[in-house]
Amino acid sequence: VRSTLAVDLAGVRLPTPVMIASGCFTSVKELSGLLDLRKVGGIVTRSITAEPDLGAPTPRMAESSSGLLTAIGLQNEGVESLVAELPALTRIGVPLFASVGGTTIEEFSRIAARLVALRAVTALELNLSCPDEHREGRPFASSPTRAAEVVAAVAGISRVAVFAKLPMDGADVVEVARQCVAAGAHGLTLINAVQGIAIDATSSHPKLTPGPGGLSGPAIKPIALLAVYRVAEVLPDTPIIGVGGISTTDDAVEFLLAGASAVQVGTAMFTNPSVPVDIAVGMGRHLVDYGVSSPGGLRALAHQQPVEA
Amino acid sequence: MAVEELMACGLGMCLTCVVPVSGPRGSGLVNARACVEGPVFNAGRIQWERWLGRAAVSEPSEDDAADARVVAQ
Repeated sequence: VRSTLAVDLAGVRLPTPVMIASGCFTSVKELSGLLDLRKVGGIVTRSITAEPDLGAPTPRMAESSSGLLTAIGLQNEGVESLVAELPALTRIGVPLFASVGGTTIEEFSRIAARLVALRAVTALELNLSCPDEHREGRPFASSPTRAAEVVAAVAGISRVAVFAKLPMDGADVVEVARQCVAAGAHGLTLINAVQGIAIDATSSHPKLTPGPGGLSGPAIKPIALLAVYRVAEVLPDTPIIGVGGISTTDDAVEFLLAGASAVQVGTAMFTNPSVPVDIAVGMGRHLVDYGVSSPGGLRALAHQQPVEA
Repeated sequence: MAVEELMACGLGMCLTCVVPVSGPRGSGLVNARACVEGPVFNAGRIQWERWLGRAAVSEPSEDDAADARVVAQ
């Protein structure tokens, strides 16, 4: 069997199913010194807001068993800074997903309009874990209706595919996913970091300055896998990008089996920046070993009933 | 001076180790990453109160100043 690693998600063709998740780099120049970016399936930018944001004060991180708790806030240089970096990002030659943030629907729309007009981004990924100004800062994704309103506003003006990135906590992920797709999302990215807190037993204070943070890394893999599994069951035709605790080829394969079409790697990049390339190479070997012609051939196989012997 | 801040990656990717410093030409405020832009910073550029909090970096109070004068006498 001749295998290809390429996958298609809502008309977006990725050369491999292993992308770099949002929040893993600040400048392309620095990142390109750490791995061969031409060999990744796609790159997602840090979440971009309309204006530059300094994010949360430090300490911003705490270690946790098999996981990393962080509270960066939405630190980024603003949409105009990303616009300035777009030529360098597109020159890499792999699909570029812009992660769009915001605290109002208008902000999401404004950023999306600015980026889409430049015809440089392959797709938009909406960070629906952002605080909703009209609901006391609760995440948009904690309300299926509000999440869908953001999606509808952006999908209405976007010429490129729109992916809604959802967390597993806050509201029923299946319901939020369903409403986002009904509102026009072409695909879903599941999941964002899981809310958690670390407290210092000595000082009696939370370890992170903002208090709560987002848990990532291998600790959340089964949670992310369940999100993909459950959503794929209900929305079998919607492309899903699985993300959460993926650090090995087997992890990535499990997400495809659960129903994802592609995966993203985030926290694992911090210990091995070339992990998206390593996983893709391992995936190629896996496809050959199992006689499967493309990653799509593994999609959602875990949903099939085992064959009686 | 050299600073220490918690670091997840040490490669400039994760933004956990930022230190607030005054911007270029002394204006504004930027988050400099201790791992790649530091760890050595001009101490005068570091925004100490913002970084370590008011309690950790209190200005000398009037009482402290008075005490200093008493000692000086």
